[in-house]
Amino acid sequence: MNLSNLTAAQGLDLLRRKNISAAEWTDSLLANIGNSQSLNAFITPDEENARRQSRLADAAYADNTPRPLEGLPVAVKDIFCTKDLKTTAASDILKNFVPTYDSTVTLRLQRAGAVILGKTNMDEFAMGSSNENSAFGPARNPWSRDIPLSPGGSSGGSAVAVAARLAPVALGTDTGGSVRQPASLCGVVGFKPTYGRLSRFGVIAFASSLDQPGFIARTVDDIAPLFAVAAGHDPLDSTSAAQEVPARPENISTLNGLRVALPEEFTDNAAPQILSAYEKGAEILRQCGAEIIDASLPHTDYALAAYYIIAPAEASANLARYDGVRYGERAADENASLDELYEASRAAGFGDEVKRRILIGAYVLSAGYYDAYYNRARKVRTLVARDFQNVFEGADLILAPAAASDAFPIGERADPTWMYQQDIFTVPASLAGLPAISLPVMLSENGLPVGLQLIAPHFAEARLLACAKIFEDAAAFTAAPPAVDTE
Amino acid sequence: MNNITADTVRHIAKLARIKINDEEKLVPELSAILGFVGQLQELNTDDIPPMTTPAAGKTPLRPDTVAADASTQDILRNAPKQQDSLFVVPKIIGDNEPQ
Amino acid sequence: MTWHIKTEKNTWEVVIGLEVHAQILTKSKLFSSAPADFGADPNSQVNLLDAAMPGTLPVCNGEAVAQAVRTALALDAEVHRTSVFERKNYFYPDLPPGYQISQYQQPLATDGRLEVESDDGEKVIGIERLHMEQDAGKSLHDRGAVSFVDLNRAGVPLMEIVSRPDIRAPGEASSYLRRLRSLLRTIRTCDGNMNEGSLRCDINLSVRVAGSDVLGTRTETKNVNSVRFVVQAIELEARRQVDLLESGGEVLQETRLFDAAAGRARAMRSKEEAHDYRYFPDPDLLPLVLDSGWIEDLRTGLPELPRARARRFAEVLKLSETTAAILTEEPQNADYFEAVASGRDAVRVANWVVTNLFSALNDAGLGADRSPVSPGALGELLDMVDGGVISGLVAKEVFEEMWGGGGSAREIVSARGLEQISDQGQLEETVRGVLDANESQVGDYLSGRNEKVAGWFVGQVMKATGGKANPKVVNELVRKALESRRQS
Ligand SMILES: [Mg+2]
Ligand SMILES: [Zn+2]
Repeated sequence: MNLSNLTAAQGLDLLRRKNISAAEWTDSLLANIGNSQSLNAFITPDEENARRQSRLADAAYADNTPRPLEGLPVAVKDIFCTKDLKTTAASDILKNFVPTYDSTVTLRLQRAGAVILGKTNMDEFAMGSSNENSAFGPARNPWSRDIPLSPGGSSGGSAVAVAARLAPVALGTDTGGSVRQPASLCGVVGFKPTYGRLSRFGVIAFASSLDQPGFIARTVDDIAPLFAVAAGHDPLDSTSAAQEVPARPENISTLNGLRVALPEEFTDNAAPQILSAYEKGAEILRQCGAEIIDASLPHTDYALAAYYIIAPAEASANLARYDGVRYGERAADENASLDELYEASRAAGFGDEVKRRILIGAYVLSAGYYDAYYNRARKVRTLVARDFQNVFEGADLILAPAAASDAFPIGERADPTWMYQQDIFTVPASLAGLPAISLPVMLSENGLPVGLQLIAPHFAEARLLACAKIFEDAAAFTAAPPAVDTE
Repeated sequence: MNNITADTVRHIAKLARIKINDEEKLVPELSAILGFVGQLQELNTDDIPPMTTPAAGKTPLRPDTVAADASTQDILRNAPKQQDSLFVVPKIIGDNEPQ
Repeated sequence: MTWHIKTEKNTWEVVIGLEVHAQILTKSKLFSSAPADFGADPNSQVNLLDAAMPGTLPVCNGEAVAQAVRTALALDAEVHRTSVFERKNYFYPDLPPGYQISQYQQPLATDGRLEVESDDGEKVIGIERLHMEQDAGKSLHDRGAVSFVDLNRAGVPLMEIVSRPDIRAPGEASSYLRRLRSLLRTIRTCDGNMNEGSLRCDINLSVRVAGSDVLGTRTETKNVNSVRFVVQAIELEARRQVDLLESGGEVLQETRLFDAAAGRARAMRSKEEAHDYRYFPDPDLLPLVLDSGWIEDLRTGLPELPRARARRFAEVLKLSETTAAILTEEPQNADYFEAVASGRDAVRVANWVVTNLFSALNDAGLGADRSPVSPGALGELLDMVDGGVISGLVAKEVFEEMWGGGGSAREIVSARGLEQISDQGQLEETVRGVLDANESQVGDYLSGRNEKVAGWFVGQVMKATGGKANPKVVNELVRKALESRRQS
């Protein structure tokens, strides 16, 4: 048995029945990681510690004291701070940063017995939709061995790790689609809960009012146990929700009576291959018993513009702390002036896209432009959120595309605004703080996966995951990328 | 609205403390982005309240108790330059910024 | 009558507003649980948030909010049910995140008032707003070729209290500061310690020709950290602006730094780009929403405020306005006075406390709460005067010994035999002796040339008894003895 193919649910089940050991599961994945360096999925693998943790997990099984995720290998986006393990946010400015603290999410997973395999590649500070904005070079989509294709972003390394069998599950973060879009491009499941469900403590901030940790897995079933462990109120995060976390998805077996809305604006915006997946998805849901209803999210066209004002505005302040004084790389010595130190360190430490967003953010907040840009964007955010509220008055879920296209070649598009369009289907739910899950539905003409997302009302994750599971079974997407070479 | 110039770019780069020497490249890039997000000007948003966050409710208040989550060593662990438990920066010649 | 600067050309008046940053008394910082103590080892009171470590998040200290609300209530301000924390963006090494969390468009409270002393009596100064914000860390510039940063203060809770431009004289400004400090100390929301930086003052000042109602261009003089310096800085800046305007110049809207040691101020170097703080609501914090019942509980819990206490001292205890004001400036002084005055003649106690106790405390640099003579011990002493056991003169002597640790009043009086002599027979004898020894003065009296000499005789008798004689009795006896010599 090749243990690296195990899903989280399968692996945990085998562990509990003592059919496999946590050590061999982790070792097989570490071997795959070692053999897949061309995918550039990891910035910092943590082999030694993963081996040690997996052996401790085996001891817990031997003692019959396993915790809920005992021995589950997890890949972690390099934006979650991990104590004594380098955390870079894929930025040169943090290339040697070693936190003295853990993020709440990684801490909760570890306390439940999860084994961290290492830190995955991403767009620098989560700013990007292609993984090309990593200071460590892009991660590669495993679906193509010849043309280098983008895995999407920003949680590209996590999606690659899960798709390529380097980890059964991975942590990502989703600010405007950074979990859902790479999941779609890599043919895996990406889940972003309601804003506030998962603590942001210890997650390096990009845009605070949008950032939300999320999970990537190969099956919907693998999401629930991670969510149950990691979600829930955190006193260290003032925006963390107090709502009780459902222990498991709703227990349903059909979608009979469920109303799923298909907003017309998503149909208008979808490219042909996305549109055919969208139509197929609607058909599958109908076959599962759901009622498909027409709906409208009239401000969808403006959501992206609002997002590309709000996110940079918040980022411009969130990234002011990288100044070469307390941590991070310093690009001038003490003979420079203070401003020279700031300006040189930030110029050398940040990549082009990060700089662009900081500049845009400073601009839209600056005197004379605040009302025209930032404040107006916040009002449009209200309109986008109201659109969803209106749709959810007559619908239980919304079906939407998860990405604007299938995987595209690395290095082809240098135009920032083209790249921003990648987020067109994911950004609206982010602005409204809604939970959403993207899952693979079919292969495109290029033989590449295309995903769709289901969006639910706030805190309706138990229903969302249950419906996604039924949808997943009916879609029966079984394709997988080529296996890892064994050298 | 979005006719930004090299001067504008230099000004915001100064505000953001990022040294730039490629204004020529940045002007069209940033103009394109501002043009793109500028489409919001089409909307009438007069009576719409702004939304800062999707989180509902009020900010939680913590009790006034002292607890350390870092030692002096932790705080200085990643410092590019330190001396006598202090961060070292270039000599500050200007005046203190106002509060 | 406002304060005026008179020149050959014009009579000028000043328009002043004060911005006070007061450290809120709490155990921990505003958004982190690090201690808010003063004077610890460098970077030893710093939590991850205070150093702006990546991924850290602010959580608001409820007691800091309560303290700020108490202060707003004590200033008669309107406390807003909803206020919003915003980020104020600027780069400086003592500001780790690159922004200060403050309140801007929706502050905690607005529209307060504080009564101050002016030349025309009590005057109300409006309080425009009170908001909460974080303090910055400390940059050390005076140690060689580089600067150093200590983050112990970073994140300490402050309230910024902004007055309206209602102040018209340096004396009003100093009264404002003294009254504000007294208020904060009474309600225990700030220790008012100006030399540790717990209370810092910026002065906004402009001048105009007296009678004009146009506002001139104002300057802001920063970090003027004592009441005395505020007076100095105001006089200096007002004079500078007048000189500038009269010589055909123009006042620039600028920030100035006061140098107390040199007794002058200078304009701060302004950076080429004007400050643009790019305030926006902090998305890491939700709105601060206060329950009105909670606010009312805080209002009910406020102690008697200094002005109310002064009024009570004047109206109920019949003290003079001045004495009442002096006694209530420091809460611990007023507490001390009330402890002694309880069950005694308040006016006499007040006079004694103000003249004798306060001068001793002043000399020793102590507050009444640290007086070596307790209110109980002082009360015992004053009772001995009232009961005729010792004279007022002797009481001062006894007090000095008590201050030096010589024991209780009773112990000192009895050990040194200082009891007042009221015994008629004994005193009559002394009087007779004094009269006999000064026959020419007796003659002056009897001839009517100098009747005031009677008082001189009283003094002589007091002297002869070492101050222990009861002056009232002596007075009577001297008169009687002199009159009796007229008849004989
Ligand atoms: Mg000020
Ligand atoms: Zn302030």
